[in-house]
Amino acid sequence: MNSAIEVNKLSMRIDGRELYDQLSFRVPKNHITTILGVNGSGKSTLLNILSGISNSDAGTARLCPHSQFAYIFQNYRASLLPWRSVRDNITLPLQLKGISSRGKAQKLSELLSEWPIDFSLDTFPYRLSGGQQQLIILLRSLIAEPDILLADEPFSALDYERTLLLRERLFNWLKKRSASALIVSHSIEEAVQLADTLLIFSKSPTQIISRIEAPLHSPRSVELLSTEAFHTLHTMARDSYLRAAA
Amino acid sequence: MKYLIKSSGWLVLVALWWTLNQGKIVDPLFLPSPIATLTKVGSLFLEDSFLSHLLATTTRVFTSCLFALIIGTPLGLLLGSSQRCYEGIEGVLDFFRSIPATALFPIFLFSFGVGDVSKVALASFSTSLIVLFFIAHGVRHAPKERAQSAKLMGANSYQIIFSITLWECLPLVFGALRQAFSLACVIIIVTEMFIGTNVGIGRQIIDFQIAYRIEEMYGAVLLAGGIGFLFNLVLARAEAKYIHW
Repeated sequence: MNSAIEVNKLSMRIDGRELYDQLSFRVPKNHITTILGVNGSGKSTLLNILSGISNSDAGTARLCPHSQFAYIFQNYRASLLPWRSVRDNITLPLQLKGISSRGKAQKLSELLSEWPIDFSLDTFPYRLSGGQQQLIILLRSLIAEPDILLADEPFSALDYERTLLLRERLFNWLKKRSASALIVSHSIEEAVQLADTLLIFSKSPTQIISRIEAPLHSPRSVELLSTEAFHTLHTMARDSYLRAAA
Repeated sequence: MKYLIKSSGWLVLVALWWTLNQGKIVDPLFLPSPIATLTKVGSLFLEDSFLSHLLATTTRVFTSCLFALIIGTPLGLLLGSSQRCYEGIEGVLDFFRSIPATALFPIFLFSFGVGDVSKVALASFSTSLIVLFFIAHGVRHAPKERAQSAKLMGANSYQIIFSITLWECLPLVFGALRQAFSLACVIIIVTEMFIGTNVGIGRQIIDFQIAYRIEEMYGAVLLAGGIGFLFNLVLARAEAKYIHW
């Protein structure tokens, strides 16, 4: 399998209703694909199927075999461990792999040099804001350096200014490591800013209404948002999205 | 002011007691005055034998609670994490939980004799059902995201239990322990009264009653309440400290 993610004629019934209409697409290696779609178009379910949490009824949705992947749930609050400090939450994947304390500390400081945080590592997640909690989940997903990142609205609780910065940082981080990602978003701007390819899902039974290639330059910084190229893509994405939602 | 509010319940209780006694609304033979009773509580402590009664009862109660944790926790985890197990055994457990513990006396007497073993076994049996249900319920209703995300990070079942599930249940263990302790106190004191023993608060209360030492009898009752009250207080403090989330 030479793609990072392959979805082929996916079919799933929920309450007797067909969720997907033979959904098929692939995410090449070293490539970021974002998904925009109305509520109920099966975006989260798709990530659940890819990660192995849910099963499809027919068709396939697979990640490249032997690849390491991380999955950021939409419900970030419920996936944090409130009894552990921020530090122990972020390093959880390393601990589960049996990496020594020294190894964990080393990896953490490497990660934080690229992702500075403005809160203490020794505090507990419930003392932090929703946005900060979301950042912890993001860092927890990145610390084991996954080949594939599945993310379900990873920035939904962050304020706008910080989101812009983190999008750029995430894009750079993934590119630097030749990682692939499938990111679900509810923000058209975010979906365009992060994407190599943007998929717009129809209402269910879901199919891909349009597929927009985004050959924008890197880095995907705030300045990019004011460029002509970005505007064109944003308008295209918005028009298709509104068509899909209608 | 804060202390006044906190102690107002106690003051009302003592005032009521005092009125019942002084107004002879209840025969003072059956309800001695609060001051006489509290003085007796003090003098009970000076009797060597009384301390051994106190110790015997608390040891039985604590042993029962310990067994309840040892038996109830793993079974609760198992039952909570397996839907099939839960469905299969739920009815039977509910039935056993519905049998009043005291109705099981004879069975435990047959099986374990009249010594401490039968008392502790009966209390352990009833309290481990409480712990089991609390934990099974907790595991079943905990959000799935934590265990799922750990699993996706490659955690094995052992790691999920020790890094996630047990922690998730810890607040419930405290809740269960408080209830289990109350029930263990009831069962142990009643068995001391009726299965018979040479030492124990239950035995003391009956002995005082038979000898018409009513002030001492009330004193012993107050002490039995005091043990439960203190233990609950300690647990509540520990919970506030360790279950910080």
